[in-house]
Amino acid sequence: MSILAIVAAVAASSAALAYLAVGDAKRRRVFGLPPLERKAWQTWLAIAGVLAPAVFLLYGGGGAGFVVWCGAVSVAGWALAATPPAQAAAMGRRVTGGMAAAGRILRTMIRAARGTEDTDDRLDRLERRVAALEAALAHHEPAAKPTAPRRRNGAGGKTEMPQPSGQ
Amino acid sequence: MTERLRRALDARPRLTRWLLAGPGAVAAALLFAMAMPVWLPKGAAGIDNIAFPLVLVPLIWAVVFVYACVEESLLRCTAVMCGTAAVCGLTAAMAFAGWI
Amino acid sequence: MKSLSQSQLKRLTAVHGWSGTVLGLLLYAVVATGTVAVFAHEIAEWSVGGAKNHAPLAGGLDGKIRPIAERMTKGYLEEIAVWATAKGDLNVFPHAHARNPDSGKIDNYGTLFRLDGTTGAELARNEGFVFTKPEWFEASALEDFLVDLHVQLYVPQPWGLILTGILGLSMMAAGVTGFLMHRHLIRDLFVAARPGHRLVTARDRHVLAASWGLLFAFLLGFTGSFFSFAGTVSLPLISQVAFGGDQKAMRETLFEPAVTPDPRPAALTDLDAVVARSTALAGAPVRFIVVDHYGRADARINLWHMPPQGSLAWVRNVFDGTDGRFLGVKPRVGRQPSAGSALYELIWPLHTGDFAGTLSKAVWVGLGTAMCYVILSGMQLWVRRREDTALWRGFGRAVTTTAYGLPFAMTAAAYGFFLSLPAADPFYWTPMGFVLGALACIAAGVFAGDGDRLAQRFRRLLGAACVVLPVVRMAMGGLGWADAVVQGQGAVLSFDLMFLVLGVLLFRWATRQPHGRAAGGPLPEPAE
Repeated sequence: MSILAIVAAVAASSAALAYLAVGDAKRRRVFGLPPLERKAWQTWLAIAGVLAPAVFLLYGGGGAGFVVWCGAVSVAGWALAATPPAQAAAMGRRVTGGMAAAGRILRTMIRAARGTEDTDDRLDRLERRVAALEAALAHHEPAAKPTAPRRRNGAGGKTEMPQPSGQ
Repeated sequence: MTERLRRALDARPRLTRWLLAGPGAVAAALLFAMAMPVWLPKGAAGIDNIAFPLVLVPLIWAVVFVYACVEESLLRCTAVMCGTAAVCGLTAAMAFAGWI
Repeated sequence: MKSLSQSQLKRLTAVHGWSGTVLGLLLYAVVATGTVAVFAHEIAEWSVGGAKNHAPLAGGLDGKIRPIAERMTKGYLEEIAVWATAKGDLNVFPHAHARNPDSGKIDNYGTLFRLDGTTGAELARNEGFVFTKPEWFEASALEDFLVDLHVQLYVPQPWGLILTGILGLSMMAAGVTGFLMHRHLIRDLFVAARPGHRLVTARDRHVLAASWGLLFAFLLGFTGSFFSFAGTVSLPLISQVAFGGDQKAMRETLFEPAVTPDPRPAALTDLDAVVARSTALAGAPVRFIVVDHYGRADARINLWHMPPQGSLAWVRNVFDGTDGRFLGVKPRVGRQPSAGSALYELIWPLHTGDFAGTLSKAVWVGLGTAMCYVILSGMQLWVRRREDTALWRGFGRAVTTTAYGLPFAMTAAAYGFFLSLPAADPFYWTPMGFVLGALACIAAGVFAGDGDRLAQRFRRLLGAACVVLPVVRMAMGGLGWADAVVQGQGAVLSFDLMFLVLGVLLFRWATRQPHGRAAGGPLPEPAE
């Protein structure tokens, strides 16, 4: 059982623990938060999510991974539970914000590596293509009325209805 | 006699509890562990009856200690612990002497 | 579970609270030093500037050991032990067993050779009861001191072992009584400490940490007390019954492989071939080798390997010393695998976390830190409930002083080690550094402010000690970072960086606003 598998198992169990912590009724009551409506099956599924990685480790490759999981989840569970909800939410926002920013940076890097056009140009190109196809369709089916695509108009978001370009 | 013993124990509850949970628990745990090689199966390698009590002595002590703290009746606690210690001590002595 | 009566709860609370209070500071010392000792080997490597050879037992042993064995008197060939030091040197120890006049016990007596792990050049030679002189076989006085501090609180044997054994039992008892007292363990598992600085906040902190760490608190206390009492108390008593007091029969049945004596001369087989084969069989590096009866037909080669991946237990392979035949895996107890041996083999890895490399050790450090928090928060809770009494307020200062003073004293021990390296005896100055550091903290605890101000001062002191330590290490001739990178000395870099980061974090923590409540002032509210 590799180190990576153990770390992944601990991370998965910790995520399930975080889900349980967020919805814990007594925790929310103590900190004055409104109760989170959760069905019983959702809670049980989360508990299964906590324990399933341990079963996988135990049967996948000896007791060492399972024992490490037990210790790591004890520490992680304490850390999660000891973090007050407001602090946990702030950390969660920082984490998701960070992940979103990382995703944006990654997408930009990929696009730069591929040398692809930016989004606006691509939309313009696609709209022109649709208009051309509709014009061709109108040519073959004179009864059908071509409709022009709505065109975006920068930050203001106001749309205008240009005429088909007839390309 | 039981009633006299109960009164004697209840006359000094704190001292009795201290004796039972302190040296009493240690003695009972050690005697229990010493008697275990006699009745535990030897296992595949012929040493399980020694390895198990050797490893489990602290756990046995913990069980006896908590029992001594939680048991409400001092008479019952004394009887159980002294009885266990006596039986185990006798078993261990007979094993040491080679009688069993 | 049947709910407990008021009197039962009262007794359990008394046992839990008083045992924690009376023994808490010592228990914290054992747990904190144990947390540090998890990385003892890495601390040793860091303190000596890295290992010149990270695998001196992997190969080329035969050419280093055979010349030594060939010129040894036959009396010292009863056993030849071989192991590596933190510096990557080889310790080769041909020895016999003799009664030590100082202790009255049978001890290992022979000549210890320290060889360069790569070239085999002799670096040092000492003769006598080698294991009574750590400066002969240990590369790092710091590692030796920290481990000894944990194992027996630096108290002479057997009292130190008995003391730490009692502390292990008290940890188990505290865990069980706490579990029985806490009626809503599962329901409160995600309840963080309530906001504010009330008494119930302190209780929440203690209960939460204790709940999550309950299993390992029990396990670590149990395994720790096993180590303390097994050799001194349990084994002698149990062997009296099982073997009628015959210690030799007990040793041979439980620990030594069956060998028919055959004193006819016979050359030892190629040791390197045996090491290679054993390593392939075990799937893990070898850490310790013992050659029994070198030069005889009944010679045996015993090799101890780290736990293979996925496994918890060390592996001991036994080979015939004359023809290199694999004789099998010797369990920890007994002559063939059994449930009893499997249980026995779990004790060491479960206690030390030394079974899956850095990952398991890191988790064990996390667990140890959590245990320290449980102990300290419990004592703080006890003090908070009794703050109107001067005695308990004083005890509160003692808790704060010990909480920060112990890590500071351990850091001071490291200073004592590094500063003494050039020209003094590190085996003297390392414990002396600890003592001086502890005295300084006790003085600070007595004179320097109270409550939150005291804690802040300690954090700054500890932070400064951590930040400056790597500088002192390098200034005393220790390996620089550039050389550490080039030589791949990960332990040196990691620990230096860890101390710097810890120091910075401690300074940041010290600058946070204190609670704003006067230390020692009673709270005008009920306990619960």
